[in-house]
Amino acid sequence: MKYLLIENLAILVCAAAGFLSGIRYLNARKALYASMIEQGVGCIVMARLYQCVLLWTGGSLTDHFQVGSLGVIGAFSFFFSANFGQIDSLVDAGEADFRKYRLIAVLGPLYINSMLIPILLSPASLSFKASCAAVGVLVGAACYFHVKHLLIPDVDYGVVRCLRGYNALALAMSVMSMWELIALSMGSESVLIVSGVGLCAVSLAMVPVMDRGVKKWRT
Amino acid sequence: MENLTVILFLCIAIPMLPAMYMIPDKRSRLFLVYMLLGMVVCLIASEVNSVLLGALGGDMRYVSSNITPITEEVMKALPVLFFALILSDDRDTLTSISFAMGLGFAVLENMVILTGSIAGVTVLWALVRGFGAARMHSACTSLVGKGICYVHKRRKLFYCGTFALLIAAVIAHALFNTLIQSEYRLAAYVVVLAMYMPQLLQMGKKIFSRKQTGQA
Repeated sequence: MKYLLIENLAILVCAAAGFLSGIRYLNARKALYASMIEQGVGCIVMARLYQCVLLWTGGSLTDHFQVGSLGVIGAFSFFFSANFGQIDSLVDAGEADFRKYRLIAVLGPLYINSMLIPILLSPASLSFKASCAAVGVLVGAACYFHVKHLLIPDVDYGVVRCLRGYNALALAMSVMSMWELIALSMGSESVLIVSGVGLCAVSLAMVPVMDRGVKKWRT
Repeated sequence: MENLTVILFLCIAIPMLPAMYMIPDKRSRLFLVYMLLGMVVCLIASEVNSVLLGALGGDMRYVSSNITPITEEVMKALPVLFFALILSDDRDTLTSISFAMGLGFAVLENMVILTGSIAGVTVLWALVRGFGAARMHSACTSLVGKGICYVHKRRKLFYCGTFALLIAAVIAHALFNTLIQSEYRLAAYVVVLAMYMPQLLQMGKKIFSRKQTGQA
């Protein structure tokens, strides 16, 4: 319980610092892609804030469904929409040459969704497993584009090349988030510490790295 | 449906109905309509929540901190969303109707809770409910109203943005409900105080700009 509270508190502080570093992107005149990533990180801040309060007041993250998981779902739906709606059409118009990149990218969601198996087999409550499955589906969908945009050659605009750093971090966040869910369902402290440290680093660096990429792409 | 809740709703809503025809100003009339809608939503939400409470084994603490924020915030947001999509996405109008929505909801909710625990209520209880829970309801719906105006103008942000606004409102609501039922009750008032901050800052800004124009 204590580890969990410290982990959530640390991620809250790191995500809030990352969010504040890019707060100017909430302005309506700024790039929509960056604004979506910023709002995704905002969702993580809200989720962690609620989870901290829940643990502080003696609640549990695994007994039932809790609203903090909605924040994670919100965050990954922003990451998915940003890549799918804003960037993907710039680099991939469905050419046959890029088929191999699309196929390799499918490994991302497959890996993420395979991590749901230990969660579903764990002794955690049914409502917790259901919320993990919902998180897993969205993380997987977002993951497809993170992997694809890491690999696909950007021949026309050079946009995706500038955002590879961000996509690598977002991919790391996807994997760490699933590890965290596995750790919670299995009660494994060591996996929780590893995923917690990873999530802290990624949520702190995500917005500044994306910011650098967006600036590079605009100049 | 709980008889007392319906009776309370009728007692408050019926005297307000003729006022809709008496008020010449369109915006004020709209405010009143949405306040009434807030009460209707409260009536429906109380029924939905009691069904969910039964289905989830009667764990009042869990349901009020994790389930009711979702049902209430979604139900309060729907009429505001309808207004933004069909009628107008004017920022001031959306902010005022969403505030009215939360206000109407809070008024009926306070009345229902008051009649449910009539023996234990005090002036302090009324102040806490008035400044605390009522403010929380209006602030959460206002957040959705203000945000919808922003996301509606950026089409590609609409679905995700609306979902995120609902999440923000649900989590703020859940934070308050979780804290108010815990031993750290005072922290819940800090959350409410934070909800007053935007208005206080706006008031301060207005006073400051008035003073400056007066000096000029």
